[in-house]
Amino acid sequence: MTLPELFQLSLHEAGQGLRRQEFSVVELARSYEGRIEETEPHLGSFIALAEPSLSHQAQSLGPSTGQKHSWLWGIPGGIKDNICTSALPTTCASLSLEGFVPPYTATVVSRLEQAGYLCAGKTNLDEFAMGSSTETSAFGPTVNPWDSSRVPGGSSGGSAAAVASGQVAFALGSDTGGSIRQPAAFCGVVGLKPTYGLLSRYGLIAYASSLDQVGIFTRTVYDAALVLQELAAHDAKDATSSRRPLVRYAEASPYDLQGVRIGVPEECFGLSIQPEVSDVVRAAIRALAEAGAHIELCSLPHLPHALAVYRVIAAAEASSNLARFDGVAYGQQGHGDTVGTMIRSGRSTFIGDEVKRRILLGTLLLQRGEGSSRYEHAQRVRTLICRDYERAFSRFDVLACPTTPTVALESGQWADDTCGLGEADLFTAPVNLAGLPAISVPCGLSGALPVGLQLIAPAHKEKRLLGVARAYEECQPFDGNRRGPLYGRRR
Amino acid sequence: MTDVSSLHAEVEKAAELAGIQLNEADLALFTEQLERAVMSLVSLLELDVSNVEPTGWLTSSSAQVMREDEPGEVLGTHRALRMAPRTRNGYVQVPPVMKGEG
Repeated sequence: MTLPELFQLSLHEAGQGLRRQEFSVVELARSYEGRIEETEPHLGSFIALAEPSLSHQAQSLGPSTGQKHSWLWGIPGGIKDNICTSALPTTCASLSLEGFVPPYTATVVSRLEQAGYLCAGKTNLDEFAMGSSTETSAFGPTVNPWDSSRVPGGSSGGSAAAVASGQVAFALGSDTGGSIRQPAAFCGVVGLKPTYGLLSRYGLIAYASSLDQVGIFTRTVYDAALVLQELAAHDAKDATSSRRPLVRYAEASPYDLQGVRIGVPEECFGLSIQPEVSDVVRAAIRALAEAGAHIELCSLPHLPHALAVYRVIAAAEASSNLARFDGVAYGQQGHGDTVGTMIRSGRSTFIGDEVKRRILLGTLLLQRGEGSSRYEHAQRVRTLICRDYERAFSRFDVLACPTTPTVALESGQWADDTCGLGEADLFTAPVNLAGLPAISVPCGLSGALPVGLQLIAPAHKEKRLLGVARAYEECQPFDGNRRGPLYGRRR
Repeated sequence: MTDVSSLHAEVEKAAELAGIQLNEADLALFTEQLERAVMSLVSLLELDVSNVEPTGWLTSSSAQVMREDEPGEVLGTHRALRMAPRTRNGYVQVPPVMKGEG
């Protein structure tokens, strides 16, 4: 058996190697640099690579002091390019923010820096995180490392592709309606969306503020727990940041599944799901049952309305949030002989069509309607969706369902997915509406493409979620031979 | 809600409100695409939820958003102006607000 290249190690394995001084942080960084050099021209995972380079950052860390470091010390990670970094431009994959260097760094990135991580760069996304394919990036698409004719999902497709291909050990993304879990499923990696409020949103450029949440891509569930451990803390700069006592997520041992109650929402299998995806996910749920979990069908009766609710709320909040991109105080500026014409010129020239459509939809929905607004109507149905989950969690410890109704689609198939009318977020967006934690775990292949199992837990029950996900990983490991892009050479 | 000619006018108005210029071709295309989006909401909007409270935020009750009214770290003029596309004499520069000014 040949020894794995250092970039192929999981975050935890790399951290152990550094602690035991089996290799140096510079050697680890150089391994990742080589991998990025080899794969990036074909993948397009990054909008900008970090300066100074990974190995220069590693040299400035100094020698390992063994056990005293964070698990993230010396570990290369990627940051979705809608998360502010004062050392690198932050563009949201939009020409309107091309070259924009924020005056401050997001709290989640500051926490990574304090832990001693190495920044590989800013990862690609759909413009302003609005999309499911990473094809609407103004700086070009990212391709799926499993099959370059397919999309990596989105909007955090760059982060997912970077982790899947071994360009980084972990990456941050943001999840408004599934933008971490969906690309994680398409790229065969773990994607964790924590409870709304658990991770600071300070420095995350807002899309839909009541739904947005920073989250994590890794290759294993335990790696996700290690990153979550570093990021979860109250932040006074985010008014929605949780003040709950800190939890030791890194201690989330694999659950003994004996007696764990897992609900399977029947609506997820009655909707438009590819039969092959359904088969793979059903087999994963059977594996949980064989490991001792009690599996039972349940119902989330308002789930069929969730995508429409999500479209209204996300578009309305986006139309408000994106009003700030006027080219006056920062960003690209248009031309005109008055402020008004200058702003209209800039927004029309530098913002892409899909973002314009969602801004317009939100503006329409906020102005239309008699009595209560369409936005408020959607918020009332959102309450019903939250109640559906509350009822389900009175009977079950976690819920299990597919992450996505399909495997990764061919490039270009999302061209008609205007205003999020496609169904990529069918099983993920409802979770954002209820603010719950959820994780996508690779659960097998359909043909040659990965499928994700989504596990959902009650709010702030990440330790339970990670424990069940780790138990699943143990009983049906997604082994190295099936992690094509991590072990493959250039595609 | 489904009248295309009225939707066309509403999209035009929304574009004006949102600060987005649309030429006639774009307006026609966007109206067609937005009509599909609006139509997808029909069954949602038919639900009777008059007795249901809206959910706007999911912040837990333990979140305390109020803080002492004390100044914190500020951006400062130099750093703020460094980001601005155009500056003049220590201010952000923009064209006149109304035609004929300036």
